[in-house]
Amino acid sequence: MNDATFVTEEVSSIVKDTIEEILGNSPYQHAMVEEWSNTILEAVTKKLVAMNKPYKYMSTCVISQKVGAGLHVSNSCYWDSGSDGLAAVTWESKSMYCVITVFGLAI
Amino acid sequence: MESEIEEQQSHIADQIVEEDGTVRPGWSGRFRADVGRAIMKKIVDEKIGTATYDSDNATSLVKVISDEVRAQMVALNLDRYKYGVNTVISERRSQGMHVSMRNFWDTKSDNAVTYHFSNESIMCLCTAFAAYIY
Repeated sequence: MNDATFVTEEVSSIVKDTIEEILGNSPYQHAMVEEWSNTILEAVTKKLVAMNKPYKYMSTCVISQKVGAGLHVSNSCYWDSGSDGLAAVTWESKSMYCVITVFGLAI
Repeated sequence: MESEIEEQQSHIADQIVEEDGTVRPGWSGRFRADVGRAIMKKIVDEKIGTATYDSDNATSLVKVISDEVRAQMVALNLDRYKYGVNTVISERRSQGMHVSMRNFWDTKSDNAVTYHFSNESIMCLCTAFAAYIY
């Protein structure tokens, strides 16, 4: 496989590790959420950029408190399926959901 | 709103070739946030409106919204763009929620747009990314 491709599994594991590292066992704290989501995305983007692949990355992060409310996320893309990719990671703890989507679009 | 979309569609997407051979979109060939937002507003307002939250329905609703937004953005006829659309629908139960995004791209040509809608029982956040292909 070509080194310069978007490997969904690789990106997903980066995202998962980053979430675990930052959210860990913390309970939902509204004052901290903004900082958490920014730190997670910043770290993920840095790690992706450090891989030095000819890609543009766009990522979104949703952190929601768990109170029994429904949460639905969907993605739709228009791109070159041969080179571009998407990694969607959902993570949950006792008190919150975290959904991260990373689009990787080849330059 | 309608007029902005039509105006953008009627333009021929232009591009500028720099001296070093790289291409970038000209004014009419660039993805504009206001046009993107107009598309989302039209679709989201129409699809959700005053509906109340229903989990079975919401599963298909998020997909429909993402697909429609993507299709209408492609119909803008901006040749060299790739699009990614992300839609979040959530029930409103006074839960805390935070959404953020981070991008690594070319600010000269790429753009992102978000539209937030909420009624008494549903909140919907639609985000779209447009990335230029050189």
